[in-house]
Amino acid sequence: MSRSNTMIILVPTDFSPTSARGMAYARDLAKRLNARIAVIHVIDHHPAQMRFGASHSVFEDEIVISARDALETAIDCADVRDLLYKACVEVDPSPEDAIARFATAVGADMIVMGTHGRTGVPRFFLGSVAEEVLKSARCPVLTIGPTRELHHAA
Amino acid sequence: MIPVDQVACTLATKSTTPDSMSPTGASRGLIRRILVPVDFSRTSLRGLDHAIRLAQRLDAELAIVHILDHVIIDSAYYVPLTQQMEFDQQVVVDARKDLANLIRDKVGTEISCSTEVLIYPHTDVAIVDHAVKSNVDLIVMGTHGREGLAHVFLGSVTESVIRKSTCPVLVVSPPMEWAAESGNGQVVGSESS
Repeated sequence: MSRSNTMIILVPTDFSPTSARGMAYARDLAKRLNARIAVIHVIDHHPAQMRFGASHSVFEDEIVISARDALETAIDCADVRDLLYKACVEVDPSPEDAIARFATAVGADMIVMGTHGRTGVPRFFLGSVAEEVLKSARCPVLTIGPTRELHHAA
Repeated sequence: MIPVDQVACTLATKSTTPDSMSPTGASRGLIRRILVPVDFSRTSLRGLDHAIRLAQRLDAELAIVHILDHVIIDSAYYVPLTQQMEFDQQVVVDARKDLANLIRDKVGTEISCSTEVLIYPHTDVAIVDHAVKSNVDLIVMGTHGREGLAHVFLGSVTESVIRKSTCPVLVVSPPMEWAAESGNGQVVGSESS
């Protein structure tokens, strides 16, 4: 928990429309709470690693660099630049651990996540990462399911 | 065997027909009304504490509900229907009293707050339906309720509410100390008066 006066809202993103929904919600909530936003993207596996084996540091760097670019774009698209506290790209096979670590590091007061409401496979209704974050986070987690409007649009 | 659903319908303080209306403010981060389901377990009271702080900062109002899901089933075998309804009414009266005490002790008078006791066999459905009916913008609840097991990280009711709810859900987890102190795995908590 953040002991400073400023409240920190952490938003994990995988650049999906679902994540964008979470980011937009976090922005509006942050404005109303006078809070600031921390954003994290976790690269959970390396395509390069699978294809080229051990010596891939160049590819690894490339992936991280392009992820940082994508994260900057996502921040601008969601219009959270002026609320931004910290943005971070992590490489970790379990995104939920990286998210939990970052939450502790920035002293997040809340994690805000969009969840997708795919029907038919109830076990994966939330998205596995969202579910794992719910389980491992020590701070409150706000989940935003698909609204009806979005349902129709999809 | 008493038709449980029928009894539930007659006694329900609110009908639970799903409403097609979705909370208008929800998608824009506007939080005017916060629904807090309370079962008097300490995780749910922790959720309430959090909701109170949010309501203060957002100038929102609280809608606190307590759901009686097992009353009818538990007593169905022992008493005839008419007596049972009296019994249930007494349980509702008691629950209302507990809620009123809770508001007095925790919420105070600064925040606008309503309370309701719902009788419905499925807690998750009751919460989700009530959220739509009373047009709330956010549901705040603990990871577990009274019946939650500490080793299960997310209680079934909470999980189900997250999945079914059309408005955002804020899930409040217990602090680390709680998991360590109860060896039997049960998050017990009946701090209700």
